Amino acid sequence: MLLVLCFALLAILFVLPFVPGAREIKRKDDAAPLFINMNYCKDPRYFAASFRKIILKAIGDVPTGIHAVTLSKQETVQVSDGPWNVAGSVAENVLFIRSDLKSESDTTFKKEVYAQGNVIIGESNRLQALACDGDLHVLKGTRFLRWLDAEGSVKIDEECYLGISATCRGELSLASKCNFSRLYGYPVVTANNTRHVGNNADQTVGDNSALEGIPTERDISDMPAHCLKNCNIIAGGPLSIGEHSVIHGHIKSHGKVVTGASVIIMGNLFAEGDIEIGPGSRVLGSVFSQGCITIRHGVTIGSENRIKSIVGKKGISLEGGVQVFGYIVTEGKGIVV
Amino acid sequence: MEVVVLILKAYLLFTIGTMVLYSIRHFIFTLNRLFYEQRIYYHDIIDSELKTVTVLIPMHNEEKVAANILDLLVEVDYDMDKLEIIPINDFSKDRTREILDGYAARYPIIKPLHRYDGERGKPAALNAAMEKASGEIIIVFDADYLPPKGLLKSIAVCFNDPEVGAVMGRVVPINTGKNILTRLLDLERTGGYQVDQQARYNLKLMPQYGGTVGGFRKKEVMELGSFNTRVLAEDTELTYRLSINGWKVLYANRAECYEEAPEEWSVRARQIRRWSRGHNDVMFRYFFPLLKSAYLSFREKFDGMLLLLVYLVPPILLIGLVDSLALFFLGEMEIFAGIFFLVFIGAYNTFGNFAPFYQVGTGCFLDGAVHRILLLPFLLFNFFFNMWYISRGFFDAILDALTHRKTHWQKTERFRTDASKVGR
Repeated sequence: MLLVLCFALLAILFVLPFVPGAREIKRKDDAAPLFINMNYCKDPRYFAASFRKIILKAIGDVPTGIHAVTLSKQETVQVSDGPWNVAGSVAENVLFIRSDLKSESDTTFKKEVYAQGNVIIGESNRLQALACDGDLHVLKGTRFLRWLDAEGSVKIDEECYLGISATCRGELSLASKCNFSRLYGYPVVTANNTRHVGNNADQTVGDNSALEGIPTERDISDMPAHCLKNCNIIAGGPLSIGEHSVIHGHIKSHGKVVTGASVIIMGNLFAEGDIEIGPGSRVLGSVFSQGCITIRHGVTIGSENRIKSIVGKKGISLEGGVQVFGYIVTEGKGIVV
Repeated sequence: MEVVVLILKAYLLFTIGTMVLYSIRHFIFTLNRLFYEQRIYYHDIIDSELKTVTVLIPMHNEEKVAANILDLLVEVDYDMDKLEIIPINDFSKDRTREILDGYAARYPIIKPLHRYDGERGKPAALNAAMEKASGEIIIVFDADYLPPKGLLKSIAVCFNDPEVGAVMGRVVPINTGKNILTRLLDLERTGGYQVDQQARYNLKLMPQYGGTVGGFRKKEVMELGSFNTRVLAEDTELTYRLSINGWKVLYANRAECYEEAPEEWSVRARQIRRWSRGHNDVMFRYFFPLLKSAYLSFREKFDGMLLLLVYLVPPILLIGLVDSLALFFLGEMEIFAGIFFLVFIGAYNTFGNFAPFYQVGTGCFLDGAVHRILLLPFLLFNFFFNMWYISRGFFDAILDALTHRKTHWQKTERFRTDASKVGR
């Protein structure tokens, strides 16, 4: 009898781990394939594009007034056909303005804002998200919790916090002490930008195919000033590039990269460590780091008629006079110093 | 007799050592994914000057699936002036040829290659198509795959890095819920990609190019001799060939693509036996070149060696099981007295039996697919199934090496019946 009981216990213990799984097989609670968004395409202005699509579909040609509208959920939307001023108060509703929008200082917008004209946001405002079809000017000390986007240009004054994304079709101009995660503009410029690059990179720039087929040099760690290289560079560790050097190729480093002043890199710059690009330098390709990226005064990344990116996993610091043609993104802290 | 017993005991210790070694490896990968810093991939780079791309799709009697993948590829988000698609009709006897010609008539970027003479098989087909391809980058899909719109950019962007030779995306079964086999294969894929490949990428080891949902530099691969048509695991071979010549292979976890997993055990058995045969063949060819490579760090070589030997482990375990039975019936199971015996038993039961299981569980957790973790115990059956067929593949590879016999490519059977329900 004891033997039978032991055997039965053993059988139960053997079967027991399979019971929850057998139940799952029968019920199929989690049998669907893992979700892949088949229509996903990388779009730096995705948030605004999606919001515009939803609100335009929901509002249509609803007249001026306050309306209950279903966006992603039921919302109260303030619609206005004419210019709209918000003076130092709290705007509780979603705003849909078919003209210009202006807010006074210390205004709080508790919901999203969409203005089809130009927008001026006063000092020390608080906003969730803002889409604007014209030009946008954000005054000092304003905070965005989520995102902002403009079809025209964007000018951001000092000490603004730009949420998870600040994008526009035109120029995105940032004053000092602004914080960001993602920026997209054509170009993105920081204070004191001169909009003119005084080196010969523009004359020599071609598309990346001009750099195909060139040789690769490995294990370079220190390049003196005024060095000229016509090759890709793969450095096993840190890489230092002396001032006024010109690299006709792409760079990959498994350590930190530091460039001196007025260096020209015709290709992309990749590093496993931090990247520091010296004053007045020019990188015609994209810049990517698994660490932090520091862009010194007067640096230009990318070139007109092309879109390039700066991706710094742990942080990006932009000094004044920087010009970037395209996209800037970090998982860490982005700051204009 | 004493010598035999000594050999049996030594082999058992070797088996346990192997299991512990691989268990530690999987455990490190799992901990890395759960608690350590993750390296980001290049998908955040937006670049208007991506390289020209040729998509190659080897097809042998693929009438069930050919239209699905082509419908998706003609809608991808990529500069159409920089894209061409070459479906390779490799000796098909069904309607594949007509389907491809129909698409070519409608879409100029689709340029089918019909092969009815020369060498057969995927490596030979890829070589022939590469001669015709105009793209700087080759991206390969198996015919049953369903690429999302943004996938090509995600794959192509990594070649901005001058050191990258190849990249591998993530494979996700679309027919997960079909039966117990597809559910278990889904778990294996989850562990293999979400944890194993990503951890290898994080730790700067050697992620593996898997022959589909991946890309490589055409010119550089052709300069290295294109694909060896005698190798069944052309993807593994490319991984090692590029790596030992100074190129990096990356893994892109967010470059996800649906595949159709085998729905019958017999089909899965043939597939995994072929993988084992091919992988072990690559192991014979690249073990010493890997160790001698001047471009790889010690840890890349060490993990690359463990990866190279991974299809050798099941036959080692299988022989180890037979060995332990022999020792048991000989009354010689106690290898060392006391605490050492407990350590070995503990190692065997704690690590060995469940080595990949916590990788799979962690992968499901990271994917947010928590209910399917309940199926983990069922992987026990897969473990023995795989052990048997991988072992058979290993012995196939030994025979291949000894006899220099010609290997023949075996296509995996497709099961898709309702094309309208996929890829949208």
